[in-house]
Amino acid sequence: MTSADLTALAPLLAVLGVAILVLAVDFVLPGRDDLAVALGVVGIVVVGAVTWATGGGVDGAIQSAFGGSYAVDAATTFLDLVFVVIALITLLVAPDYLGPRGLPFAEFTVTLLFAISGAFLIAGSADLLVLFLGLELLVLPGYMLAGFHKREGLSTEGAIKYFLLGSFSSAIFLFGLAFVWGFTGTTRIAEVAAALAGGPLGPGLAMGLAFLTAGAAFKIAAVPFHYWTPDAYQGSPTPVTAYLSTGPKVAAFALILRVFVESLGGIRAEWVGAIVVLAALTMTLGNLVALTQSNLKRMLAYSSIAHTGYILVGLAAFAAEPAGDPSRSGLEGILFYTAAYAFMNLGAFAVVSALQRRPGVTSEIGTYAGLIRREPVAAVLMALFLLSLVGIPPTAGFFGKAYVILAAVQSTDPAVVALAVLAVLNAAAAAFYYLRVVVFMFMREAPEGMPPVGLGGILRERRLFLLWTGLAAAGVGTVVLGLYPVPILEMVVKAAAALVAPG
Amino acid sequence: METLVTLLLALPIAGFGATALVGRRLGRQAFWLPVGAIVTAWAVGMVVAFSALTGQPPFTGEHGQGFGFSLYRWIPAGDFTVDLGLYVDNLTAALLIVVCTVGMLVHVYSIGYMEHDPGYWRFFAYLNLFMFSMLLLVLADNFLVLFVAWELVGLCSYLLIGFWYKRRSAALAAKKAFIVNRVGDLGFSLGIFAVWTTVGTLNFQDAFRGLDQKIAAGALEPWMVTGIALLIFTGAVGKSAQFPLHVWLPDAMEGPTPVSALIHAATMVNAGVYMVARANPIFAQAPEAMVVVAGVGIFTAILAASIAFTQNDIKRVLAYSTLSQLGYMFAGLGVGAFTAAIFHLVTHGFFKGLLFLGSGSVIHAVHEEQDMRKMGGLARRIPWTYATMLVGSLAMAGIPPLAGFFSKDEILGSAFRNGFLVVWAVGFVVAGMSAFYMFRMMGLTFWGESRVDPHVAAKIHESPWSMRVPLVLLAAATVVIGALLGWPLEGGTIHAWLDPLFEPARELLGLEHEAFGGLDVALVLASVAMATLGLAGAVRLFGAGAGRFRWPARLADRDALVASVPGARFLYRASVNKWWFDDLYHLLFVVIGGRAGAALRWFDERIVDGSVNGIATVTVAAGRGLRVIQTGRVQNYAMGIALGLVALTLAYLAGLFR
Repeated sequence: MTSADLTALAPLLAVLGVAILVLAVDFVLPGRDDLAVALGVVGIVVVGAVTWATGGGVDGAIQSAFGGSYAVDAATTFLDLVFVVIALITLLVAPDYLGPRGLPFAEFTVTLLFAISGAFLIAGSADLLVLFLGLELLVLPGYMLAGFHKREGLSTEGAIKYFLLGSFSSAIFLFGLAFVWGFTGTTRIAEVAAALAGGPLGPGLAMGLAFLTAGAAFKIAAVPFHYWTPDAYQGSPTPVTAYLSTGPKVAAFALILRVFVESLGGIRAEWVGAIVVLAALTMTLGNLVALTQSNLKRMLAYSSIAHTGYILVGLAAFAAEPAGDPSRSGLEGILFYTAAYAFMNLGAFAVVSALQRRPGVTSEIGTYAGLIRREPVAAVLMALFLLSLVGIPPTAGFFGKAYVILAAVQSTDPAVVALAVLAVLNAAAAAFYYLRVVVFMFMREAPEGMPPVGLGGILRERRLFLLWTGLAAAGVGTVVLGLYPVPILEMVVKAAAALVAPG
Repeated sequence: METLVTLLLALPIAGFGATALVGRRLGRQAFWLPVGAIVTAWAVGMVVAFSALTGQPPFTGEHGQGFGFSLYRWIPAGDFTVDLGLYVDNLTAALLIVVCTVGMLVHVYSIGYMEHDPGYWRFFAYLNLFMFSMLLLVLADNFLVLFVAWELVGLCSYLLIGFWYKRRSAALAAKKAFIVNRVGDLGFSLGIFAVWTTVGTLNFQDAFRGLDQKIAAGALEPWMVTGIALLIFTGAVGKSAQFPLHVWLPDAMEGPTPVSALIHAATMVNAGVYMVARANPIFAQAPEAMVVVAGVGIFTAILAASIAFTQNDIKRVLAYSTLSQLGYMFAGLGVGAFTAAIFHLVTHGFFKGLLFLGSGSVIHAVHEEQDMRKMGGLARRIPWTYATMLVGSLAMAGIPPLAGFFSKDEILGSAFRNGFLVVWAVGFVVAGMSAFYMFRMMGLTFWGESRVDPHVAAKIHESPWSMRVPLVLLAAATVVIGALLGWPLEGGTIHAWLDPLFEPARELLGLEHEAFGGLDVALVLASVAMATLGLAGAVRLFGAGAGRFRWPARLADRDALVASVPGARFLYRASVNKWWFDDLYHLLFVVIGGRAGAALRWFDERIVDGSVNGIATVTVAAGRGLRVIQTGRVQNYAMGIALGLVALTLAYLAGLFR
């Protein structure tokens, strides 16, 4: 192992290091959850710094390790930074939820960080086997987190379902990888791409593509492979739901970028139709079902399915162009969307998490009536996140939607243009259920004699301080990406360039 | 310089943020932050303005070329990019002087004026937000940022007119201002769209250059340029309250008086004038549009002046006089006297700000009474207010050597020499009318017998120093600024500042610079005579010393005068009823429009909503149906995934996804 290897692996090692440190500290000093919180938060910030530094900021050259099976390029760095943000906000928000319910925070931190290391591995994989390894490393802690509330029936049930179906789909995905290996004789992403370039698609490879598509669709929760999502999301402790709806989803998109865009990009004409169909189904069904939900957690679960559909629109826009076409606006859309989605979705779940089981609030939408009087800052932040999820400028969500839809509109493929139209219609329909929450918060009166929610006193209680820091981080991200998207956009452009021109 | 200009915007918005966050807790001390921010911003603004006007680096370009920079790229979307760009040239600098100075003085004045208001902090927060918006408006270097600022000042105006929102009339007035402005803004936004589609950029300098090139290349029909100019002018008509959208401004007087001074006299209502001046290269290409501008302007001038004759609310008199003076400015722009129009904007900003603040002081003194019929004889009781307002009124009447005289006469002179004789003639009459109604106001308020409610009369008091100082400073500015900028006539400093900027437009229009000659002397003398006549008439009718002068019998008495002039009764009623515009609009838009609306509502509820609700019902039903899939049984889920996989495989094998 050379020093170049170490540079490439530094972010990954940093995450694992922090995770093991927290584990060790918890072993030596059991029950010191506040210490675990501090270590976890500081540690993940350090990981972010290491990622930024070793990635050379945004335009670092490609560094590889393990004989070229793990490589860090601009896309890896960008995605890693998104994972860091997800982990950080989750860690900040979680103590306020876990503490009062008697759930151990150190274990939560460790499990989450191991999952993040899997996501890092996916983002930097240059080999399909490493990628699969990363996938398993990502999802196994996810199952544990889903069942983190051990004594709660719903949590365990959701975790079991998630685990069974997840394993099922992992097997399907691995089977797909085996097909690819069988037909190309290699697992290196670059070599797969070279071997596939131009060749006609035999029935065997078609089977492989089908398995890969199904497996990936499960991981991003695309319709009709989404069944696990609502149950797992609703059962999990809310900070876990926040993480599950962003972390594994963004990681799964990283996987799609590595597998479909990088290794199978040469035969994109073969799979673009599948993506168009999946995108159309996912957006529409996610939104339709979200419309009828009265539980915020479940509504956000379905809405996250719909957002998967919007991101897939970007993928379809990329795939509809002939192989070798230099336009990457679809990929840029995907990458920007993931960042925007991480902030706004985490923010929305964080508010739900913060309010849940405070006096007079559950995750039922009716209990949010008059929130503006009872907890004004939380209500304003929630409105911000929801408006961003709708896609109203000047928020992150607006530019996210704008970029994927713009990419699709400019496509030469009429099916993709139709998809863009469908996305706009869906966004309009989605406005209904997001804004309904805003109406409840701002325009309905709370029932007489409701006590204040009690999120004040941030300086006295450490957990609340962390919570508000997390909410503020999500809020700032949502606004900054909407008001001043240029720096992120520059990173995104470089990341997309790294994906289609591996050097 | 970038830092200074950025600071100029950052200070008021920071003041707004801080006051909005912590103002409530500061109570009576809430003014420190916002007033401090604006005083500092004033100093910064003066440095920026004078660097620009004296050509300090980086303002060294030819032809009044300004200095611009981009804070950041705001909207990067393929071909459509907009920077949050700022631009300072001599025109901006002239506006900065007015906005910063009047803004600063109004802030200071408000410390005293709003002292007993429970919404003290809220008022200062709004004022700071307004200052930010207004500065952004004059500093914008492209149409979109200008438009954003345009809407922001509109929002602040709405918030401040409706500041006493519990009072129904204030809430209604705020709504009226907002809605009437929407009409103008619709046209303005269409104009911006048109600029974008024709030249593909929204940056001022690039867009003007692009339009010139297109016209030179013959790629643009003249009617299109005229259309763009007229659409943009529609926005100005709304914001600057010109006929037929003038109805909102008088009602806007429901807001606190400092607001009327700042927003509805000295700054925001001038935004339309500024914008037309800024877009002068477009207007210079469209002489027909210029004629419309001049016509609308001068018509508003005489219309508003005739209404001001009979109003009894002191602030409404001033509101109509503002309308009338804005009309002058547009007339100036329309006849090609851009410099004179901006000059009038500057002087008017000062003397009208002074008059409004003075009226606030009067209202304060007589315990929130605005009806002049319940005033009278106040000169001795509130001498500071009286003296300063007298200066303002003389300036407004156009008596040399005060501010209004120089700028007004330049507009009238240009109208005459550029061949707009009708504009000149009407403007000439309006000059006399202005002097008359101003001194009617002075007479009713300060001279003669006191008609103040006896309960109040004992308690009349001069305003605190925080209110008097701004009055005195503004009065001093009113005395000197005209001569300072406007002497020698037609060749003063203001011309040195602004003429290079408007030179290309004047050349396009074929307007020559003529030396100041005998004709001009005659014109000036005529208009001064006219103003003196109006003034003297008002003093005779409303003043105190009726006995000293021997008047012809039929002029000796107001009623006799009215009776002696044919048609006077009709004119009087027309004036009192504001030429029935409010009633006309009520009939057109509220009664008839309401009926049409009700019909549409029926159509909407029954037909449109019916079908939409139908779709929604179907959608929700579909959602419910789809929910059934979510059985909760993991076997079903696995089965679903397996089926999905089979379907995918078959589709791939059949080549359906190609």
